[in-house]
Amino acid sequence: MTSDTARLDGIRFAPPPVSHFSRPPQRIDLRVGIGDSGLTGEASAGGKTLGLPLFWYDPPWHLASPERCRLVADFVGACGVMIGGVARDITTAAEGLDDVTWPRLVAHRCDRAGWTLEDAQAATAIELRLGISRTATGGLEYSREQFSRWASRWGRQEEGRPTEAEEGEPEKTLPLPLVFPPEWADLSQMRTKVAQLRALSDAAVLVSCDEASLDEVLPAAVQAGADGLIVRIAADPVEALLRYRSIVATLDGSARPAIWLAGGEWDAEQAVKCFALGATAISLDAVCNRWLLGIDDPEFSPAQQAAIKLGGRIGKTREELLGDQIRERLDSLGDAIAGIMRSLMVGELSQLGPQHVLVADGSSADQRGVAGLPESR
Amino acid sequence: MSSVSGSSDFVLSFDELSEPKIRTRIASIALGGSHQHTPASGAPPLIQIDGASGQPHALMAIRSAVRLHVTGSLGDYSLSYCSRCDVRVDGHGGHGVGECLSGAAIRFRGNAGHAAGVGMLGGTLAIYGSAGDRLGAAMSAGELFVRGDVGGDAGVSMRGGTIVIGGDAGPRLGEALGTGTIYLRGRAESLADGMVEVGLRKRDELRLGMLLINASIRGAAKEFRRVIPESLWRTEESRHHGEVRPSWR
Repeated sequence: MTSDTARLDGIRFAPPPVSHFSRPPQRIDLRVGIGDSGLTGEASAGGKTLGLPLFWYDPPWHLASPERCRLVADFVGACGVMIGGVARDITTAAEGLDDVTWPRLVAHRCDRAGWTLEDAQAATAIELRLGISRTATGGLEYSREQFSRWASRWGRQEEGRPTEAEEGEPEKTLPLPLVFPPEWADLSQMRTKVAQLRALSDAAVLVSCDEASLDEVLPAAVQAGADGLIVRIAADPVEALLRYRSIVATLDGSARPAIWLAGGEWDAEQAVKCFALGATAISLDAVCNRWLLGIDDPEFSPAQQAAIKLGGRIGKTREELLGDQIRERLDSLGDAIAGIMRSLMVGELSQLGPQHVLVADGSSADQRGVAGLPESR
Repeated sequence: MSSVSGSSDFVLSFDELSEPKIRTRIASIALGGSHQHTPASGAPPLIQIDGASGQPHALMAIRSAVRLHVTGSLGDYSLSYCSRCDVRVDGHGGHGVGECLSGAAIRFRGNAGHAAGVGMLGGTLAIYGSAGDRLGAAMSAGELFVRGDVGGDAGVSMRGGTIVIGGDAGPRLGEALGTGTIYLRGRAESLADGMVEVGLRKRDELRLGMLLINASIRGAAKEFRRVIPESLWRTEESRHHGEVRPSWR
């Protein structure tokens, strides 16, 4: 845990009630529903579901080979994690990702970078990404590698000069103020865009924005009938979640759009606290990116290395070991989340709420809108 | 662009069919799945589309070789993601019309809203009236014609392709980071940073002349000027004999 998550770490889990006997739930359901209009995050038979409340938001696909991308994506996706990426990011195969079964999140950026209709139609969810980053010199944030992945769509771009980021150190990017798709005059046009995406695809539509734009975007997303909101946060999610709660409280009707948190690095405890404060899913980018980039690749033992040199094989291949590593890590994370939920006597994620967390400082409890010590005593 | 004229082979109406059914029917006609008349000339079937006035995201993802004649003004995102078809719209277009077009030819006889042709990947979009702000934003290929005036930020985030503006342009015209070319006949309120306005080269005159004829835009190519990234212009200037002089013999 880092000081970046100090506010989240300051929150504690509420002890189970002692006034009456509570039986722990027999089964913990970590599934998350997506695609139901007016999402509550509940898994439902009608909508699509994720096996885990986790997603890999913005993998740096361009930094790994297509073979590596597909390998890691298959392993991570098989665990029930939704993965962000267009087909051209992940594979060079002519058939694209037609054969994948794992849930996929496809980004519809303001500048349509990498976006194809075929991807949208095959996606589990479409991310209507608001906001764009530019480099310190004003260039686009995409690197030459990213451009080349999308080259067959942007043919002239590949042949011409790169728009940004020549070889060498990538430039730092600067987030700009909220940027709409260019055809919008204001956020009220989000409704037409969401309707268009729904007409083109059966995928759920999630609007994404930076934390700073939450106040503007959330009401517009509700008005537009989006299935949820992905909020890109720098580190501590408490502020964003509390603002989300306060905005949702002012909305008419029972609309409670799902909020997905992108950014940060979470352990199971922090994840459950986020779910209790209203998050539907959290991103795992920090962990998954390491697998993609081979930072945590399993090492062979000296005996295995010697056997490989002699042309033999002892035990599993490197790919199999990586698959085991990914499964083990994600399973243990899921188990840890389930264990905490069991200790809170909660069987489903949608049953988690602010009543399950406490803050030590009673005065700030009101500000935070979560159960504080004075009420809980 | 080939002309879409004469009596229609088929008539479809939004008053009778939903948008998905219209799309399905168009695909079926293109495949010859209809028992009605098919033109003997070999030209793609001409389909009259009625009742489309005000329809948002109408006629999206038409990817069949058909000719469509639409009467009435279309709403936002209409004719997006189309390819292979030839469309004439007797009316205006909303915001984002012709989004991510690839290979289709579309003509609006009226005006268009903001960001017409956004994200274009190919094909031709012609607007015989005027267009709003951010025309051709993020386009990477294809040709975009506007007979009248355009709003501000035309060509913003443009990565490639060609924009031809028959009238005046608003502020911040062009995108210095792309490789696209803008031909402008009137005046631009201002150019985007890093853009320059230069004269046409001989080959530009030839190319633009052909484009104007194809888009049915009156006027001579020499009335236009080029708006291109300054870096591109410097590259051109640095070539001592950069001009291509084709041998006609």
